Amino acid sequence: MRALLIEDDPMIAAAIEVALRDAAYAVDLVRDGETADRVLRDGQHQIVLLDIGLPGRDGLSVLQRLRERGDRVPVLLITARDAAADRVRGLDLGADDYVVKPFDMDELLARMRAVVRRQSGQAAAELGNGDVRLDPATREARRGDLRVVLTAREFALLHALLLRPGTILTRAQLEDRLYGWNEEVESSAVDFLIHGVRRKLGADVIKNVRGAGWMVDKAR
Amino acid sequence: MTRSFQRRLVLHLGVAVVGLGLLAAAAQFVLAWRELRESQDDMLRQVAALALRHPGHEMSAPGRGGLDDHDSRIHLAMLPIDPAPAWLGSAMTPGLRTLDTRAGRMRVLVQRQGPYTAVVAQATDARDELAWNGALRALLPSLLLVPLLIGLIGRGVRREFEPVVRAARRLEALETVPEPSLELRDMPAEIQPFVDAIEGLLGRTRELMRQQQRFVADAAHELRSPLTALALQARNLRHAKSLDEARLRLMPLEQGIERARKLSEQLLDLARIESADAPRESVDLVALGRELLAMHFPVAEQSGIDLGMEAGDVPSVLSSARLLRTILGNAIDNALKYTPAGGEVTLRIVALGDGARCEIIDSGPGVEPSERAEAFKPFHRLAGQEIGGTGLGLAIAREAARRIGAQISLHDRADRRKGLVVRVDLPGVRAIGVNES
Repeated sequence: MRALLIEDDPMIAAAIEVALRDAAYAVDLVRDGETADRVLRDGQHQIVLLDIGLPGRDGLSVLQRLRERGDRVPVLLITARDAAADRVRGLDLGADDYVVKPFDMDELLARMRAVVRRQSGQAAAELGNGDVRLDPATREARRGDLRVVLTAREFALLHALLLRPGTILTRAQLEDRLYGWNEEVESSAVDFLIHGVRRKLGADVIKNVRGAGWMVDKAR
Repeated sequence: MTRSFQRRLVLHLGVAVVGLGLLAAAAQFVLAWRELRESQDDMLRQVAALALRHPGHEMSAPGRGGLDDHDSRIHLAMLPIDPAPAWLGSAMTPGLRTLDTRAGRMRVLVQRQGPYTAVVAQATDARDELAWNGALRALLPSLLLVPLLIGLIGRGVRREFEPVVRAARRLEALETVPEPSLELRDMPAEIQPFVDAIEGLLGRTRELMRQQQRFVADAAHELRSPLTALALQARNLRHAKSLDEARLRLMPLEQGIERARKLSEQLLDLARIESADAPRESVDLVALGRELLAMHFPVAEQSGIDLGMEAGDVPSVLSSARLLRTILGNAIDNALKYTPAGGEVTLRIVALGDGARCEIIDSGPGVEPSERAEAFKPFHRLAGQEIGGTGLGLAIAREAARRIGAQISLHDRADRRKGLVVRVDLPGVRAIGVNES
């Protein structure tokens, strides 16, 4: 899953970036509202972490523009201002949730999972298609009697597929969700990860559609 | 005891009223006394005249007359019908006089008419008592008036001071400096300027408090950012999967700690500018500049910045070395932070009139003219900067400059190259005993 982090404090941004990578997110970072506005138009990200207090264009106005364009990407506000008015305004403008600095990273990650889950219309914490189940909190995958913990990237791959079971994702789409801007992607990286997941959970867990891409079975 | 204006006013007026009242009373007493004396003499004359008109009338009979009345104690003897009183002696010449007799001091009137001589006498102590009582009665109204006047003065003065006392109570009851003006109305005109001054002071205090509150809020906000970073960095370190990764993640944590340290230090600096005393001393600016350059040189060298100095023949100034070090040090700090590698930072010191001008010239991105005023506000950071400063450097420099009466301002470079000039103009007070030679 690819996240866009919009945060002006370089130190906080770097720390969040590391933590998100640890949690199997691909992360892109921007430092100001104008750039954020531009990047968000590309729609490459599945979740947005938005700091309200930004230099140049204010975070709330970035959010407003985003929702005015009809973009429904989940947005989590990060704010150091504990003024409730800002948060109320942010939520009213279409933010999905918020955390207040100083926040607990585990809480932020849990809220991110919850927001993504709600958006994909699932109530349960786990993702699944009836064949394989995936717990985003622990990165544990289960299939029949099999229980394995996936690596960050393997998890991200299976997670991307399980968010829309029965839908084919191309190599480019998968790469998009798995890697940030400044990450070097080898051409065989996706194959390598799919091999890893199949080895752990069984070859038929991910189906290959020749010339099109990969998918998991639609929920039964 | 405090000097109560009200009490003194009452005292002054009271003393005047009592003094004048007593004076008037004394005059009244003397006049009344004289008047009564004369009317008493008149009465003796009337008695004598009456007796002489009806000699032999029972009024004149000794020991029977209503005249021998107890209070006024008037004695009448009609010679030769009555025997001459023994105390009269030879003083038989007509007229009014006071005699000392065996029976006491007497006021005696001797009057002749035909064969008769009327002797009318009245004991002086009786006369005195009557006159005294009469005079006192005349005195009574003015004596009663004095306390009444004092009471009225006291009430009047109190009433005039009431708005002041009320205002004082209201001020005393205030917990904080209220938002709108106090609206102290109905004040005596003499006190109005004082009231206006207090209102002005409260207004300034209010503004200062607002600034302080904003600063504290900003400071709390700014303290939270490094703490947030530290918490995240520590967590990242805990989640490191190898020793190498841990080492890699330790670095930002250390930087985070350094940032928090720097911030708390600068907050303390800012507090110290106000609280600590800054004695005026003779400061050799060029020597101070050299000291500052030496201090910042390692950072400049590390960042690949050419740090140097241009100094003319600059006299010593009378100022605070500590605060000057704070001002110039923060400006150099900033210049080094914003100047890219390969750039240059120059400290320029020249004489300016009686004072001196210090300029810190860098080859950084500069500051837009519209942003220059904002740049001095605490925690202000320039938009689009990657540099993680505290945003306090220039605010500290400006506070310190204000304390020593120096002017600090931002300018474009004179040579039109990209960069910023931080100019510090020191007032023209030269150190005593130091001259240009």
